[in-house]
Amino acid sequence: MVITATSAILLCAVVYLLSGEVHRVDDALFEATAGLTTTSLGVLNPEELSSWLLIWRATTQWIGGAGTLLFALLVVPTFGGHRRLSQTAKGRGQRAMLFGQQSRMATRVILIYTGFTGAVMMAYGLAGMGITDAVTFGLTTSSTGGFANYQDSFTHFDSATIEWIAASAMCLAGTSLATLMWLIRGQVQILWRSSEIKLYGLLVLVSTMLLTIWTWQDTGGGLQTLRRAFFIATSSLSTTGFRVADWSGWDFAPQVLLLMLIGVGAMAGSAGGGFKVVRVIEILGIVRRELVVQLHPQAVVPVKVSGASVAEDSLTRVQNFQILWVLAAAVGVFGVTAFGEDLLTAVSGALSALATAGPGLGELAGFADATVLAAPARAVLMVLMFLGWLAIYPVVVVLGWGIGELQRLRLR
Amino acid sequence: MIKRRALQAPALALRGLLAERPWLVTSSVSFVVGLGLLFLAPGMIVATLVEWGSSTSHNETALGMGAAATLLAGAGLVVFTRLEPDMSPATVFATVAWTWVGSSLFGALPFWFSGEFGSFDNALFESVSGYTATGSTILSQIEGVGRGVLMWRQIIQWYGGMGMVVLAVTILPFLGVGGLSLISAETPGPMSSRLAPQVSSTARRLWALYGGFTIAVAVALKLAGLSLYDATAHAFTTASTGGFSPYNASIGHFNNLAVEVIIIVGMLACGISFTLHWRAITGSPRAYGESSEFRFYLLAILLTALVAASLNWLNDISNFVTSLRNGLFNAVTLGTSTGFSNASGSNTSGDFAVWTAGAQSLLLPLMVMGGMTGSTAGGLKVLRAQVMAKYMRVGLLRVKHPHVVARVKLGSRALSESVLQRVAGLVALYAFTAFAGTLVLSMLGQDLITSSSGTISALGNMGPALGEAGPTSNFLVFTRPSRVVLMLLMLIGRLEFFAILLVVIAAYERVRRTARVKFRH
Repeated sequence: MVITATSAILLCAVVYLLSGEVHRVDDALFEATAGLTTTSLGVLNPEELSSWLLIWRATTQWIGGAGTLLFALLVVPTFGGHRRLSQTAKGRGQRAMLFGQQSRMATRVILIYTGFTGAVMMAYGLAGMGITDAVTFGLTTSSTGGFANYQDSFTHFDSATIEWIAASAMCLAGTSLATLMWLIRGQVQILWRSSEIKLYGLLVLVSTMLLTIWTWQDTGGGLQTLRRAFFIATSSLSTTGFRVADWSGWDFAPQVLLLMLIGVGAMAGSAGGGFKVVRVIEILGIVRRELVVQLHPQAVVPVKVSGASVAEDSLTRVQNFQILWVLAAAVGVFGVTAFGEDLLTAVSGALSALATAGPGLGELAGFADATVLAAPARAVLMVLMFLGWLAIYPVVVVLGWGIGELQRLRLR
Repeated sequence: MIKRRALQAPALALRGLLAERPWLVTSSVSFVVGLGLLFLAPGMIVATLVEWGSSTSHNETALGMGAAATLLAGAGLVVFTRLEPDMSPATVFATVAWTWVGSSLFGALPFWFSGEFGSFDNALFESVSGYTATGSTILSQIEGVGRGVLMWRQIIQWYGGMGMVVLAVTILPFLGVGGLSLISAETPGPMSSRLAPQVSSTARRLWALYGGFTIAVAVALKLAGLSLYDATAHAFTTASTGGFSPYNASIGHFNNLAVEVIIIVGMLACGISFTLHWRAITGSPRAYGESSEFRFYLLAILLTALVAASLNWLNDISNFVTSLRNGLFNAVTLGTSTGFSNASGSNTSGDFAVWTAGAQSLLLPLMVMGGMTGSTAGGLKVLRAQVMAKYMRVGLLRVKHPHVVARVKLGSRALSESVLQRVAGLVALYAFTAFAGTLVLSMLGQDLITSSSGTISALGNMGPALGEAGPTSNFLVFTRPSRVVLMLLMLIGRLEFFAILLVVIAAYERVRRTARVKFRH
């Protein structure tokens, strides 16, 4: 899978180079990585690109989003169960059967994803976007990608309707695709059983409210503030990364809140990135259990998600993931600072890249793209985006396998 | 009917809050709190004598009144309460939490009475920062405060370094089983091992070692040419890995390489597990080499020092030798959660705030990790970091080979799944608290770097932070409400989360239970 992902990035980079509009290899590679990992942190100025290249750029994000979804389905099944790396099915017969089921699932997922994308495009078109814009923004919204065709992102349109549509679409794109499935089938009551969607909804609601209160002065008050707050909250939580305002000028509290939303990320089973809401629930459950066990040493306290207890080895994996994630972020921060960026840029940039969002603070604030960073620092961010896209595990496993092979070679 | 009950609920809850001792202040708890206060009084008296002997300031009354109040309160509590041998987990945590809260309150009295710290919450901040061996100060002009009060500030850290409850246990041989859980509730680290069959002798040995280190550092500093006052003052806060200094420039005040080396060695020694020291002293020094935690600890600090120094050197912050000296000093002072600074007029790059960003970002993981289990240092502890690293490796192994039977081993001992779960749970709790703290501090007006590093610094009992609250700055840069939050974080971090959080949770549980019982009848 790591090889597939890497070759996909290389392929996309080659397309950029062949187009003749991108001349530097590292730029093409960075843009391809940012595209496929659905991060909205490019190096190209979209206003200088031809419209077919813009569509290609958006398509890479759409493919990347589909990749995340299929990855979630085939390797990290989260529809219903919480099996993470489902490599338990080692026997040949078993595997064939699993794939049989999964390919049907995969078709359905891609169908829903495509349908959703089409709906978003239509909505954009009806709200008054041009045809190229509607197509590209549709592709990058539904994939939680966040590439825009203009340097000033969504402020370019200056249209309340479009912003509302985009924010709602991002909000949906950040939920599990299963949610959409249930919504289409009209079985809304099932949604209330999922603790993940409850927390997701709560996060959207609370952060929109807090942002509205905190930024009343900054964004002009009234419905506009509410709209912008909703937009930025969903753009951060779903790790899409569309920009509608420069939040680096705001108070510190909204800045930190937004960074945290980026860190939490979307729901499992969506195209978005981040730590994932379900993992946050599991970690909170572990924390709660730890506290209760201290008071009542004999108690057996299950960690529950959506009313069902989570298996112990699944919890172990969440904890391992947490450490890997923090470790990757810390190494990333060191990498970015070591190449001359300041601490604020590095912390926000590394977090944002690992969560495949895009916006940051410091030099990356506002509508800035990655060109503000030195080339080696960009390379670090590229690695982080890649790790965030593949949820770290596969990369580490491949690395470990590579090191093991090397050791074996040396032994011979 | 239902409506009337709903109306009654708050009243019932309030009654429960008052009647059923929901805050777990039982007779035993008050007894240990009183005992802790009695132990503080001699320290205050020493500080009063220092003040009396100094000619520059006259705060004897403030210190004397503080001592008297502490003595009276302590004696009153000890006389009017009695110790019950039974120690449930809730009582253990309540004992530790309340002893620390009580000591912090009474420790703040001399500061408050002296009038040098302004309002009571500032005095309390200084006191909490002292007891938790954090070392963040709200003083902008430390030298102006007067020697006695400053000495009390140093002594507070010395008490807090080992802990008042451990002190109380030394004279309570009859505490029985509860004693060990008391020590482990107060001593940092996931597993505290006893040094002797009897709990009280374990506690006594801990204090003996602690006293020994303090005297050794004091003598070494005196031989390096410091005055008796300076030598003792810094010995107190080196041994406790606290980091208060009676000078604005901290260790940089002396600008003396020998002093810096002594302090570095002292901090390193006190960041090592005291159990390990005891084994090495009574057995063979080879015990150090055999401890994987010790190797990890030294390696992490030295590696950070080396890389940070080279980065600073390459970025022309200072020349190679100075970079190395400052790198080592700061890595040790942050790795052991002490928080001294060696910056001075002629060595400005001792202040890590002027370092290159790459070197600064290396300090953060070190601040999170902290010292060894069972030392006076704060942070998450090396052992936990080690266990988590191994846990992760086993986890990855399981991903590759799903049916592999892999154990996390520490030395020759395989750790049980429940120990792993608890370490992981604590790490999760730490991360969660750190995020919450950062968010709250930013709401109260600090920028991202200051609020996140301030939270980590307070949780790990470090002292200085990055951003606005660097080593040459003070914590007045935080707004008044954020200082209250920081105080809480320091206590939570020093007592490793459970004592403080559980008292709150137990209170909540009891209130709820009372309310529920009253509903039924």
